[in-house]
Amino acid sequence: MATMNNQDSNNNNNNNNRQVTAGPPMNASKQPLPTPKTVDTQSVLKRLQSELMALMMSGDSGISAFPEEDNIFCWKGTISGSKDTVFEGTEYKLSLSFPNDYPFKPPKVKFETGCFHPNVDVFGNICLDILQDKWSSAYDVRTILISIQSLLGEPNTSSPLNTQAAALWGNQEEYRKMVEKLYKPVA
Amino acid sequence: MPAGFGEVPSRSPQRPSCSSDNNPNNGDAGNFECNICFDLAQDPIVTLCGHLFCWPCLYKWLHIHSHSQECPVCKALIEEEKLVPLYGRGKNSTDPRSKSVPGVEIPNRPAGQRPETAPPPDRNAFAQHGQHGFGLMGGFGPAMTASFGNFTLSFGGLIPSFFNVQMHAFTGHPMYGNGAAPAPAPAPAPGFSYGGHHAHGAPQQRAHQHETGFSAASPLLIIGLLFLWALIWN
Repeated sequence: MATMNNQDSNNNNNNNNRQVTAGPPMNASKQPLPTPKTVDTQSVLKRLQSELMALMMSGDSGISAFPEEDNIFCWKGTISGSKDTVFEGTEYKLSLSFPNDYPFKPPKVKFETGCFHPNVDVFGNICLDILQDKWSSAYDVRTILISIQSLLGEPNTSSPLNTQAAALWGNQEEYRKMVEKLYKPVA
Repeated sequence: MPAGFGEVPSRSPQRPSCSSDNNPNNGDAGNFECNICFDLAQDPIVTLCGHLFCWPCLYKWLHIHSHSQECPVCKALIEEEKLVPLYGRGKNSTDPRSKSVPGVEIPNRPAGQRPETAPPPDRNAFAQHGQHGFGLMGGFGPAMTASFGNFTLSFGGLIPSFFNVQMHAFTGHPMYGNGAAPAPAPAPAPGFSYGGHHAHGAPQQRAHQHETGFSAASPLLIIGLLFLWALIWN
């Protein structure tokens, strides 16, 4: 399951988008993608801009996201651990990297802040079905972040990326201690 | 690509110039935004589950990207032949932000499924009167009740139907030709302006019919009108 993210990123370019994609798919890399101005890219831009507007207007608590400096295809998001979960009081940074055929393909989402969680590996890769085969083009940054936020409190321990975390999940007190011990917020 | 985020603020002020642009502040427009591109739906199409999309967006999702024929919003099964296009009053011209994809031919939007034209209302009632003829006052009773029964009691609806009966009785012509014309709608409320109904641009032929009918029936019209007023102001 851990490799699912990477496999998926290769699928983004498998058909019909040759002209638009000007380089090999980058594995959640933060380099700006060289994207020539085509009709298709314009519509991705447009959608990302409208998502940004909606996010800024919505004022959701516990989640936020904003594009990186000069590339609207790479965003940084933040989620905070929900109340009454072992993650309460912690805050996690994520990176979102949008393919050229977004929203038909999901963005690549990774934890930038280390997260001790059954479905997050040490590199920050997330195993979440809606970011892979269950993706829908009606999802957006907001729903992704809300989904990840709720994944924190309700992990799927049956197919863990982090087996140690999955094993410890049953003991919430110990788990909380572990979260606190490992939590290193990035500046 | 320097498609920088820097563009965002600079673009925003342009938006109001285009009424079709989506604006998060505008709650109403949101009801007509495509669930895929989040923009005002182009070639709008609705699924049986009620979700609105641009046809090009939905086509791309169903045929290029999705693993299954699912509604992106609610995952309901989508059968393409059951999609419903939305035909507003807008022009069909291709939008400059056309969603064409290089190398992908997006077929025309599925057409609407059109049930047969509804039968003209009240046709039987009129035909009956026409065939049998009727005593002047005696004939009015049934005609009026038919009008009341089958039309909503709007004033405008009542008057034309009333005069239709009159005209019919006096000219002996079949109602509106052979019924090919779409029922009572085209008659531009002759009752209100039978002096100057040419101004309404009604076809000359029909206008003449009306004229002969009305001149012969003018005493009758007055009675009828009085009858109507009595009914309405009761």
